[in-house]
Amino acid sequence: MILDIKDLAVEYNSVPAIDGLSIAVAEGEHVALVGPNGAGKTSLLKAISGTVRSTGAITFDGEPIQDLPAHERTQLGIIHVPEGRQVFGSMTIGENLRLGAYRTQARPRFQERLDLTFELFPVLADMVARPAATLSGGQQQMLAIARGLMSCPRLLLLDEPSMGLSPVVAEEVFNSLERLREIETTTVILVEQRALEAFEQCDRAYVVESGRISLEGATADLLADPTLASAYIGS
Amino acid sequence: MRRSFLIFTALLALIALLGALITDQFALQILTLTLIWATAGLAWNVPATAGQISLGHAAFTGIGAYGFVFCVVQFGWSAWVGMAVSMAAAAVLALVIGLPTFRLQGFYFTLATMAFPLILMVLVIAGGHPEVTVPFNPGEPIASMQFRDPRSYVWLALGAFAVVGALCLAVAESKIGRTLIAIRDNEILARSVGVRTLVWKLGAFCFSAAVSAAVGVIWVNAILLVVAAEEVFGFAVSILLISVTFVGGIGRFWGPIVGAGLLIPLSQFLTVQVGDRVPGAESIVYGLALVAVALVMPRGVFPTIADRLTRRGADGPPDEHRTDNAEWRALAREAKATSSDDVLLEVIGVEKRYGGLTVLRDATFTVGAGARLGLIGPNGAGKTTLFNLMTGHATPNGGSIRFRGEDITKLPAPARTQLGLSRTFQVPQGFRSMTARQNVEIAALGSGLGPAEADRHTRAILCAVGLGGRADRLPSALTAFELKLLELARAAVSRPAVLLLDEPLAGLNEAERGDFFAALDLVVDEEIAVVVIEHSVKALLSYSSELLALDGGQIIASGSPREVVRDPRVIKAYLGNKFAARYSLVSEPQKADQP
Amino acid sequence: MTVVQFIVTGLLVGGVYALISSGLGLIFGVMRIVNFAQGDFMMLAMFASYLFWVGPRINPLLSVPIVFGVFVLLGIIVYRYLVGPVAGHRENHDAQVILTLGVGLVLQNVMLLAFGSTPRLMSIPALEFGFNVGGVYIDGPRLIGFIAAAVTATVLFWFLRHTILGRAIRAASENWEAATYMGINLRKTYAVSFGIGIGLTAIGGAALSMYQPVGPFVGLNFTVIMFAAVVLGGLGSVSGAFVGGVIIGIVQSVSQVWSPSTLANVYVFAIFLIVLLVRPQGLFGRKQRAI
Repeated sequence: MILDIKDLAVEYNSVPAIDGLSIAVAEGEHVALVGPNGAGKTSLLKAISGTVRSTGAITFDGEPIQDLPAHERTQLGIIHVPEGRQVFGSMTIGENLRLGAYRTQARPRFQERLDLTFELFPVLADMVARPAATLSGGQQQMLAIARGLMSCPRLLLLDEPSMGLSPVVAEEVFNSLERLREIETTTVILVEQRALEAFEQCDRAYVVESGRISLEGATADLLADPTLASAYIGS
Repeated sequence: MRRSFLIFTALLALIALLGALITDQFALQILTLTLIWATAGLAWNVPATAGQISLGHAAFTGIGAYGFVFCVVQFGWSAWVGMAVSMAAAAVLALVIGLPTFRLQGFYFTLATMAFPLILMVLVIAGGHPEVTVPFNPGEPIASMQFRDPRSYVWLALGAFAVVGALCLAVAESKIGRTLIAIRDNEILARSVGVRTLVWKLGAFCFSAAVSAAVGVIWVNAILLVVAAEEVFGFAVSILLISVTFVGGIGRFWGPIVGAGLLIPLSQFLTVQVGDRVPGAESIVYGLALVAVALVMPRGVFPTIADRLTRRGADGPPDEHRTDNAEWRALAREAKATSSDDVLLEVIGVEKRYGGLTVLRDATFTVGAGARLGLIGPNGAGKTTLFNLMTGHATPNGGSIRFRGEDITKLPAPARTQLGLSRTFQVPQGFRSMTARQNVEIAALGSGLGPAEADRHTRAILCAVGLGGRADRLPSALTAFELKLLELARAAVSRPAVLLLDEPLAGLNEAERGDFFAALDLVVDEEIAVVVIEHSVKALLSYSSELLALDGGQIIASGSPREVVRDPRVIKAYLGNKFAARYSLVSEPQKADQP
Repeated sequence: MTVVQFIVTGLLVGGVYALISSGLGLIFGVMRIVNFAQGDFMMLAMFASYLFWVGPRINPLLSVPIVFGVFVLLGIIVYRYLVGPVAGHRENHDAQVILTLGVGLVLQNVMLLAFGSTPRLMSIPALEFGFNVGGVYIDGPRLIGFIAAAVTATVLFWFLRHTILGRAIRAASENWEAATYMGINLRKTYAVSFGIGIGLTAIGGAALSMYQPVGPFVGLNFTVIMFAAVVLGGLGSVSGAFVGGVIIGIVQSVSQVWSPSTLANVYVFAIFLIVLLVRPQGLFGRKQRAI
C-alpha cells in the first residue's frame, strides 16, 4: 500500500466534514472517489496533501505523514491538483509548468517532464508564452494537470477535473488521463462528480457520503450496484 | 451592569482622592494627561468595537484645538462655547469623512483615515497658522478654562472622563454595544439580521470625533498652551490613541482605561527621569512595550488577564435538548393575523453576471404562503447566488423580485429582513463574541421588535429548539448541531414571512437531520414559507412539497419532488450524461440525429 | 522655472520614490502586511550609508551592495522573530499595525539617542555635479538616484522572472494555497520576501542619502509617500509601486508650478485618498480581496 489512511477526521469551525474514514491505495492503482457534493471528497484530498488539519493516521510509503506540513508532503511526491484548477493566471503556461517542477526531485528532470507534458497536451505546446488567465476552462484544467505531472508525482490527487467543463471538453480531459496511464505508472486518486467517467478511468472506487465511506469496491462491481444512484439522488 | 458602574464609580473616587492629595505639579500633570487620553481612548474604542480602526483621529483633536482657539479669538466666546462648537465641527467632519470611507473594507478604511489629519495639517500650516496661542485670560478662569492651579485641570479632566466613561459603559453593556460587536464579528450577518450598519458606524465615528475634539481642547488649555499644527494634527496623536486602546484591549470598555493607566504615566515618568540624559528613551520603552504586547498579548492586557480569571463560555457536558415550544406557540397565536396574501415572494426573470460569466439566468418562480420549497442542483448551479439575490446580498443584472407585491429588487439587506425575509448561511455564522441568547436577541431587535418583545421572542424560540439550557454559552462552546439550531433560531425569531435555509443539513448525521427537521417544524407555523437549499436531495424528498432544480444557472425542472427526481435532465445534471445514459434514463443523441 | 524642469526633477526624484516604495509594495503584495516601520528602515539605511562615508570614506554607490545585503538579512530576522508571529490571522491585523509602529518608534529613538536630532548632510565632492540639457538642469545625485532605481528595478524583475526563488515569491503572492501545492515553503518564502522588501527600501535610502539630510525622523515624511505610491500603483503589484512612485514624484514636483512647495504633499495625500475611494485596487492591483 502506498497510501494507508485510518480513522481520518476533518472539521471546519466545529462542523465535521470527514468523520472516521479509512481507505487504502496500492501503488500504481487508479482509485475514484465519488459521491454527492458536500460529502467530504475535497476535504479528504486536502487532508492527504496536508492543506487542512486532520486527526487520524495517514501513512505514505510506510511512513506516517500526518504531522508533516504540506510543502514537505509535496517533496515526498504527493501532488494535489486542486479543485477549480487554481493556475497562476498572471503567469504564462511556461512559467506555470516551471513552478510545477519546483519540487527538488523534479528540477533535474525538467526537460524530460516538459516533453511528456507536450506529448499529452499538445495544445499547451503552442501557447507556452500565453498568460494562463487567457486560457479556456478546459485548457486551464489541462494546464493544472500538466503542472501536477511536472513534479514527477508518486501520488497524484485530482480534484474534480471536469467541474465546470462542458461534456465534450471534459471528455478530452479524461482521454488525456487515459493516455497518461499508458505512459506512466503514477498512483492516482480521482475525485469526480461524474461517476461513470470516473469509473472508466479507475480500478477501484469509494463512494463518500456525509464524511464517511458508504460503498466501495472494484469499479466493475459498483456499476452493477443499484444502490449507487440513490447515494446521489435518493429514489 | 450594576457591578461595572460600581467599580467605575470607585475608580472615580480613587482618582479624585489622588487629585486632592498629590501636590507635585508634574504628577498632577501626568494625572491630567492620563485622564484625557483615557477619555479619548474610550471614545476611539467605540468605532473600533465595530471593527473600524481609525488612524486619523488626530484630525479631530486638531479641529478641537484650532477650532477652540479660533472661536475664542475671533468671536470672543467663552471657552465652553468654543469647545461645544469645535466638538460639533468635528462631528460634521467625521460625517464627511465617514460617508465615503466606510464603504471600504476594514483595512483600506484604516489606510484612508491616515490621510485626513495630514491634509488638514498641511492646509493649516500653508494657510499661515503653523502655531496659534491660546489667549491668556486670567481674569475669568472658569469662563476661559484657564486655571492657575493645575489641580483644577485634574477636576476638568476627571469630569470629562466621568461623563464619557459613563456613556461608554452604558453603551458597552447594552444592546447598543452588542450591535457594534456584531458589526465587527460579522458585518454581512449583521446586515442580514436587519442592522443598518452604515448608520451605526457613522454614529460611533461622530461620537468619537466629538470627544476627541473636546480632549483636544482640554489638552491645549491644560498642557500645551501653544497649539502647534504638527502636534495636534500629528500622527503621534493617532498612534497614541491606537496604542493606548490596543495595549489595554480594543473592544472592551476597560481597555483604554487600563492602557492609558499603564502607558501614559510610564512614558511621562521616563521622560522626566531619563529624558535629558537619554533623549528618546521613553519612546524606546514605549515602542518596546507595543512590540511586546503585540507579540504576547495581542488581544490586549485587560482581556487576556480578565478572561483567564473568569472563564466565559467554559465547556460543559452537552445538556439534553429538551424542547418546549409552548411559549413560542403562544406568541404565534398572539401575532396579528398577517394579510392572507397567497403569493409572498416573486422572482421574475432574474439574471446575475460576474464579470463575463452569467451565473444565473432567467430565474422565475413564486413562493406562496406556507410553501415548503426545496432548491436542488449540483455545485456551482447558482443556488446560493439565487438566495443572495433574494435576500439583498447581491443585486441582479436583470429581472425583478417582489415581496408582497412591492418591488424589492434593489432594497438593501437590512430592510428586507425588516419586511419579513430571513435566511441562514451555509457555514453557520454567528457573532462569536456573544452568547447564543445574545446572538438571537440581536436578530430579534434588528427585525424591529421592541426590547421587551425581543426578549420574550428570544427566550421562547431558544426553548422551542431545545437550546434553553445552553443559551449562555459562546458559539465556540456549542456542538455543530447546536450551531445549526442557533442559526435556525436566529433566522426564525422574528417570525419572518419567508424563511430561507442555505444547506442547513451539511455536516449532520442521519439522526441529527431528523432532529433538525423536527425543530424546524416546531418553530415554523403553517403560514410561514420555507425555501431550503440542499445538496442531499434525499432529505428534501420528505420535507418539501415542491422542488426546483437548477443547473448551470438555469431552472431545469420544477414540480413535486417525485417528478423532479425522476426528471432525466435532473439526473443528467447530477450524475453526468454517460451515467444517466447507462441507466437508460435518457438516451444519448444518436449520431444520425445530429444536423 | 519651466514646467519641463519640474517634470524632469520630479521624474528623477520619483525614481527614488519608486525604489523605496517597491519594498513596501513587495511586502504587501506577497504577505498582505502593512509595514509602518518601512520608512524607518530606510532611515537606518541612510545612516548606514552615512557612516560608510564618514568613516572609511566609501561613497554610497560603492557601499550600497553591502548595505543591501545587511538589510536583507535584517529583514529576514525581523520577519522571523517579530512580524511573522503576528501576521496572518485576520484577527491580528491590529497586532501587526501596532507591532510595526512599535518597531518604528524604537528605530527612530535609538538613532536619536545615538546620533542626536540634527540632520546631517553628506558632502561627497565626487557626486557634486550637474549639467544642463536644453535649458533643463539635471542634478547629479538625483540623476544617479534615478539610474540606481532603474538598475534595481531591472535586476528585481529579472530575479522575479528567472530565478526559482523569484518565481516562488510571485506564486505565493498570487495564490498562496496553489503555491503550497507546488511544494513552496511559505514561511521561508515570506521571510525572504520581507528581507528583500527591506533591502529594496534600503537601496532607496542609500540613494536618497546622497542629497537628503540624514536624521532619525526622516522616515516619517517618506512613509506617507510610500503608502501613496503603493496604493496608487495598486496594492499587490510591485511594478505598480514603481510606477506609483514615479507618478507621485512628478505630481509633487509639478504642483509647485501653481502652488507653494509647502502644499506639495496635499496633492500626494489627495491622490492617495481619491484612489482609495474611487478605485481601491489602484492602477495595476488585484481586485480587492477580503483582507
